[in-house]
Amino acid sequence: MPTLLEVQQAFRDALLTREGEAVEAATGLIAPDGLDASARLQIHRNHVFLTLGDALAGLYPAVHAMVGEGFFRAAARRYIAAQPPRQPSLYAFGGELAAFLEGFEPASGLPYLPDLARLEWAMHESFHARDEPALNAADLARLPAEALEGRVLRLRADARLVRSAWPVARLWQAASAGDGEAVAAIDACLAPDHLLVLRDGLDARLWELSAGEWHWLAACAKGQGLGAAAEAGLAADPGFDLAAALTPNLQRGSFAPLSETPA
Amino acid sequence: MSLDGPFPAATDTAATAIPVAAGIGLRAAHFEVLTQTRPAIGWLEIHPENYLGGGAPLAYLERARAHYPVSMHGVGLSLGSADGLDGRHLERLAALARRIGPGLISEHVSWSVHDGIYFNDLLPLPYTEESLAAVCRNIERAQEAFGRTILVENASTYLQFAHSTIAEPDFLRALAERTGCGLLLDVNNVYVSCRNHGWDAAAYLEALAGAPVGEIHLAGHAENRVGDRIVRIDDHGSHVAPAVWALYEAVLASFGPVPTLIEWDTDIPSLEVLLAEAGKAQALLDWAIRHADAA
Repeated sequence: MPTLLEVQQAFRDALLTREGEAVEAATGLIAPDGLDASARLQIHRNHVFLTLGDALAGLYPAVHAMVGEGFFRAAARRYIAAQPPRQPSLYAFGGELAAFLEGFEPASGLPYLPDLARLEWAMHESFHARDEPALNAADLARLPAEALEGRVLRLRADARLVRSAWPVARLWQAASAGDGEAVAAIDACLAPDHLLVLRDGLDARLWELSAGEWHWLAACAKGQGLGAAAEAGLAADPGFDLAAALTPNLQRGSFAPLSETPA
Repeated sequence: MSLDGPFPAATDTAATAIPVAAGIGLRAAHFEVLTQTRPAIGWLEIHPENYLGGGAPLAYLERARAHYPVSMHGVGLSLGSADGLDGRHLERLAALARRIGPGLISEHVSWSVHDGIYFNDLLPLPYTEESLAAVCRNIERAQEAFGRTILVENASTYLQFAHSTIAEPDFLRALAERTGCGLLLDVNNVYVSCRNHGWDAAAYLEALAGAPVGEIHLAGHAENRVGDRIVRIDDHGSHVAPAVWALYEAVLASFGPVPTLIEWDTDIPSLEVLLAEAGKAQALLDWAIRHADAA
């Protein structure tokens, strides 16, 4: 009699592949009961790929709209077989789709697709990130001027930075709205995007930044002090102005409170 | 990965008992309308896995929890795993339970994780003494982590193992006897499994007579043609079938009134349609409550 572990090992392999020894081992365990054992196994395989494909389509609505249902499902099938969920909760599933698409030959004609996926994953992460209050501008103003240079400002837990050589914000907006003409019009141009995703209330929201502001925030996120981070901003954009960049980011709540960042 | 962070600490919430009434599943599509209109429904059931990241989903859940008792119905704990439970996942579930104070906690008699891979499916178990011992071990570990007994649900099955030696209702009854857990009787799943395997639903219920049924599930199912056979699939995507309503009446007659959930997880209808379906269950529950009072 096969052990429970052997049964589950056989099903594990048979669910992720369609044929071969693994499938034979699994179907051999199934009682003959008026229906081919492989057809019974296929009910479960369908469920696994269909529901995980649904989860990916829900996570990546713009990528889905961009490539269409048939293409998306074919890509999802390959992705699921290669990168099945590793946690028993689906909010953590699907984070490697961008990297997968980079190596997915049928998508090579859409070079911006991986970045679009990266943006959608950032929005998903932001939606699920823990709630955290924002840095109060008055708290920052109370710091002595000489302390600002080395001060580390941590980004809020729901903040995500995304950068692309392609105009992914406009692609995302056009694809999300199902506007095929707008997508086609953007397709031809190559213009870098510097984006911040941040939750506004309970919804993830997209902010378009200048290159300098983006590199400054990215340096802050890496734990650099305000002075060093500002230099990173300046290196990317000679017009970068720290004071001018601070104001909108304090308003939108990009930073975590001072009490929660190291002095 | 950034979604892997520790579950946010918060103050504990005392459990609110689930009333003997009809409830509905809390789904993202209904978050806004439900918290704004606060319809008269006895209780809500959640899939805890959707809230383990915290963030916006947990904020919505806490808004709903402020107005309704909540039951926590897991789909990913994998009580049937031969290699045991995922301790980290279990700890996160227990932390969520402390935070929202569910009136009931339930899971399935099936497996969905093996070797670290989560299949997002309720996979069937061979019904053997070895499986029984493994599931009992896992239930006991879960009950220890939650600090209370749980309910375990009969899954819909589409295949049987050649080496099974125990009938499904006997397997369920033995789980309850050995671990002290209760049963979540999914009436749609009883119907689906009985039709798929040619079992007798009345005999199935008879074999469970007197078992500690703490909750009932009702849902719609699909009829799919596979080869020359009709296979009934538990897809939670439509109204409860007339035959399942009839079986529900038989269940109420033999087990008495029990909290009853309408599950509708795919092709999710408007909240109005879902509430109307719960109203049908409530009417039958009311009848069972009157009948129980008169007896």
